[in-house]
Amino acid sequence: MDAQADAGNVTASRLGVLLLAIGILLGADALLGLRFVYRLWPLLITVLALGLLGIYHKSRRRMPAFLAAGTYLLCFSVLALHCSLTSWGAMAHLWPLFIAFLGFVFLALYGIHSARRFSLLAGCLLLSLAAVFGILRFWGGQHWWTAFLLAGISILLVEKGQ
Amino acid sequence: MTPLTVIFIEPAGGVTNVFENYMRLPLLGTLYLGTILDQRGHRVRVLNENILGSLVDPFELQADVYCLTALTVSSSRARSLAAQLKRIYPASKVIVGGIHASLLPGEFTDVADHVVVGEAEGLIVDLVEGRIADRIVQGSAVAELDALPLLNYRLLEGYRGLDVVPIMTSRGCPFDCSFCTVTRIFGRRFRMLSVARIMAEIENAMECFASRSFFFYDDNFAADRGRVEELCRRILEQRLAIDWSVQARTDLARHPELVRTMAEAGCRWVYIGFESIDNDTLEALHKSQTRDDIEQAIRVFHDCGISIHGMFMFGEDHDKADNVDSTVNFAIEQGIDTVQFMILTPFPGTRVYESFVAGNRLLHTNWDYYNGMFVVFRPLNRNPLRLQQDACCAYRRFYSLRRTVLDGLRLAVNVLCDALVWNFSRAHTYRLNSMFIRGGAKAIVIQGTRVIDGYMQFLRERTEEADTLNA
Repeated sequence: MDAQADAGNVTASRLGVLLLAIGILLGADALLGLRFVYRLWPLLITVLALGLLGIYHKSRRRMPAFLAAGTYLLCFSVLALHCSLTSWGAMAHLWPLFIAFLGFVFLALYGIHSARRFSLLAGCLLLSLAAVFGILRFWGGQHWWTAFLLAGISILLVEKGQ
Repeated sequence: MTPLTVIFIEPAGGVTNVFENYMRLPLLGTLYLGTILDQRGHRVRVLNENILGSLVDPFELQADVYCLTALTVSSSRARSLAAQLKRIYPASKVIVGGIHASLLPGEFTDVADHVVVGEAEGLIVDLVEGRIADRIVQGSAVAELDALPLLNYRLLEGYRGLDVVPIMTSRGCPFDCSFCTVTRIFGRRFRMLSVARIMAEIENAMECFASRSFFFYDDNFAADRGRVEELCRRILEQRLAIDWSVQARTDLARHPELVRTMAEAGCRWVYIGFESIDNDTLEALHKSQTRDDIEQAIRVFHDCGISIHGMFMFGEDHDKADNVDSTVNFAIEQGIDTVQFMILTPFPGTRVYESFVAGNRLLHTNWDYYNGMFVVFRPLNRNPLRLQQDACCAYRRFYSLRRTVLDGLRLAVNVLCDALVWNFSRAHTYRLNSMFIRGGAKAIVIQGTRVIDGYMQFLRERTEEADTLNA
């Protein structure tokens, strides 16, 4: 119980320092009129995602929930940072990436956690789906057959690989 | 010898034990015997009604020999099956064994050709091949467990559905709790598999199952600490990515280093018979542990990141009036992951049973209800109905959905905060799975309450009868 209480205290104090640092940065940003620091908020999600992956790695149980959440948030934070620094309007084209990230999660589960066929299939299917939506979005549906062909080939390759 | 067709049957319990749905595992006695006969060249099938999920139809089971296992709770079903099989296939041989048959062999002599008392590995071949004629056959304890063959799990029908693979690495227990049947069957001498043999058993199971989760059936897995230490070292050396659960006693926690090594080697759950938090009750049960031992064990296991399934027992003569409430409070305050609140059950052959029979305190001997869920005796200072109701309430309180959700939220906040500041020092103590199990256990509790409702009516009638007689 003591060890866990100590860990809680460490978290509380580090959290305090983190919030203080963020406060100072935001304050400086406002004072200097830079209006830039607040755009970096996705970095907090990056830190959180890496932290979750760290917990997954340090935990003896290697719980897949941490790996999945960490991977997804990491992908999302990169996308969010890009949009935050450029324009959120890009999201109109990039939304299929949310599906692709889920595909990455399943592939990460397959590669790192346990080689279950379901994870590999789900990962490939979601990536194919994301590719389909992405291609449809970019090319206005003119080459939809290319997308479906790619998806079909990927499924066939996975099946053959088994 | 012409190969014979031998069917082993492990019957389901008479009245639903709700925990059978939580963890469906076969007993290994039938599998060991089946493997021995299989290696001898006989055609063997092992049927477990709990794993099959339905009762077997005797008309569809044609064989030369039937071997049935009878636990106390499944003894009525075993008896009825034996009688049906004998009637349908009079030329076939019916053998009954198992804990209940060993304790009360006389209950089966009219429906079976042979009743085996004790361990049957040493005589099963002679028995099946007809070289033993006795009706009641006395088995002998297997002296060298390493001499037993590696289990052939494939004999068990439906084995692929097992999520957790059972392995038994020892028999016997040096302790002698007054309510326990283990020492009556396996004796007090602790016999065990060597570490090399346990590793061979694990590898054998890994060839058979996709699952990498194991449950060690041993009644007291860590009775020999040196062996456990060596086993963990071998698992770590060979980098076996397995997780496993064991049944252990609180005294294991007196060696935190060993517990930590177990956790590193993949131990995820310990099932501990705490029985009571009252020192007088623990002493009366000859449990050789105190409340302080229990608290220390919980602390040590949790600090090492091992989840605890605590088993408590209500109804002992020394239990105080508020025992049920205080036990639930204790389990919640100490953060035990999952619990089973059993009601003291006087299994035949135990000292508790003998004392209840002597004191004329048994309410009935319908073995279908002897599974730890029902009050089957008159408690000393309590009304049986009240005890049954209290046990139900205990479950409802512990597995309250509100509590599980709040604990889940607390855990989520801790995880997110730790992740944000990269504090990994308590990463190994997060036990997400116990949250999910507790959430699922709520459904089991609801189902269990329904099963118990009918029995409550019986207890109500018995209480009214007793009141009338007293009046």
